[in-house]
Amino acid sequence: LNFLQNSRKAVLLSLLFIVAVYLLAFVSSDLTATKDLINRELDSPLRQWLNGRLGIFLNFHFCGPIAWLSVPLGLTLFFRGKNYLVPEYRFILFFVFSMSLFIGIFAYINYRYITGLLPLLLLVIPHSLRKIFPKSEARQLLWIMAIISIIHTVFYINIELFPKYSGRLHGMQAKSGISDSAFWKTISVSSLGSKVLVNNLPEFYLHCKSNTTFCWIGGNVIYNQKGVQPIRQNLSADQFKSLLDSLNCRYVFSSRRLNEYSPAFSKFLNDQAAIVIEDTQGRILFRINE
Amino acid sequence: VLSLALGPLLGASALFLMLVMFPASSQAFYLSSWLLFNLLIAGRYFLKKYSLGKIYKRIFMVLSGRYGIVKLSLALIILFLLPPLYASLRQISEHDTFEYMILGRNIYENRQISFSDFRFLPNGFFYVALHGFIYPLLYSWQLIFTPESDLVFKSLSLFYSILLFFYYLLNLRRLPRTWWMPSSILLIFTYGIIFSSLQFHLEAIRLFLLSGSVLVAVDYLRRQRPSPDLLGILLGLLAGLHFIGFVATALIIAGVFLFNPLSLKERFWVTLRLCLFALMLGFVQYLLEWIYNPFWWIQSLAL
Repeated sequence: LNFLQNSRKAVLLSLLFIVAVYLLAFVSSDLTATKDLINRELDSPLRQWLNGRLGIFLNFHFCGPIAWLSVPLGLTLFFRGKNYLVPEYRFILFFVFSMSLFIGIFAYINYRYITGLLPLLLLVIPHSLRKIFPKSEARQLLWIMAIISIIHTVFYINIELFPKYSGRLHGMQAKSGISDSAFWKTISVSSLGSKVLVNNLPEFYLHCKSNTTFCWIGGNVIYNQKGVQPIRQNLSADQFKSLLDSLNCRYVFSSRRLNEYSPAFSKFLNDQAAIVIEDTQGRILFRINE
Repeated sequence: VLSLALGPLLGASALFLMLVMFPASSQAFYLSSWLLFNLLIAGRYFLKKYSLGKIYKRIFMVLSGRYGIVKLSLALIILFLLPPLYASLRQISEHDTFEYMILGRNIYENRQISFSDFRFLPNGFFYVALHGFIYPLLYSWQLIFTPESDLVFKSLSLFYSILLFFYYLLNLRRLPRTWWMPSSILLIFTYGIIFSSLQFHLEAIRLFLLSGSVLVAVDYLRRQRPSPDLLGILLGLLAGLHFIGFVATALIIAGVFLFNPLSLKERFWVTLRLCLFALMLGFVQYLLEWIYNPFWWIQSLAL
């Protein structure tokens, strides 16, 4: 492993690194969908492994193109000299290995868990570089990585955090963004005295007092005092109407994004319900037609 | 950095214990008990062990350095003004955070924590998660002080991200100064970190606690310092925050036991101390869940 000390090999390593970045970029080409695809276990097996099970190191979207470098660099440092005899090195290797094993088996579907070790991995990189490379080369490599990180993040910064959509009121496009207070006031007044089917949008309960049935149509479940109740998969639009009638719900609170998980539910809402209000994040209160 | 980070979380953990031991008491009781506890800790443990003189000396060192006042002022502005400013500009849109907030508000309104197979509220809400209570209780604390606002609660995410950045910088101090800038950029501009910082979620707190616990454990294994009590506190809070933290805590305790260079007997006592702190501040929440619902951990894995 001493080959890493050679400056030419260092250049080779950085070239290999850039090639690997492009390969990963190719594998993760549809980056905007990555989060939900893994979450719903709908991704291709290769990407499920790269972005999911091995995602602690290789998830291109969240860990970026750099984090995986902590593996070869960290291992080089571990086996260099007699570092493998040092308790803290053994501890870090034990912890990172066992934690990634747990997440890779049980918890990889949630991108939040994948990023758990990121600060540690990013700390391993400069400390390993310091021990492995000559100072000036290590600094150059560190700058290359930093610049690649900037490019990656600027390119993929999540615009979902800042909505750019102005929303709708009674089916009409709002001229300016609907304020949060106006949105919840309209919902509270409209649904007062009626029952609302809330499709996996818990914020409803922070703002409204209406009687509800909480559900997750995308997961084919409704929740009640008996616990999680499954509903039949692939219900048709008419069957959704019957379900809502049986639950005495006259309103549905859902969002454009969540409706996409069930095309039949989306069709039912389009055909047999009217939009009361929609906010800048695409959350909608529907009123079921009589 | 660690004491700034531990303050709010210890408050939430203490509120859990108070709500379990003295349910449905008045707000004044919980508030005064927590203040009293802080005073006792400050008097008995903190001042005695580390002494005010050392703290003043450290502050004086920072201030007397080059641009010391400017640096300290800048750090304080970044830490205490930037998070609320950002929080005031953006609404919460994170699904899980709403769930934690509903649970936090429910606890605040009822002043007790109930344990059962699942949490179903009379208005139809069903709490799905089976994680620790620290994050919802941070919102309960906010409601105790300002029932109409969520600004402080929303600010926590960026606050802990900035603390994580400061802590990361502290751990770079052995490297050449010219490396600090690219290493910092590497942390800040890694998408997962920036995304966690800008979201209103417990993610930033977990990143801080997990990194903090591992680095304190490394420091302890290397020098037998700081005291394992500090590591125990961090681990307890990490476990009480989220189920993944619970797993990480168990692994770190196992790692400290396995790789500690002390004798077997000494290792046993250190591990026992770690376990006691972890139990008191975090594991106890899962223990109670387990007593009321023995299969909670299977549900937790499934969710």
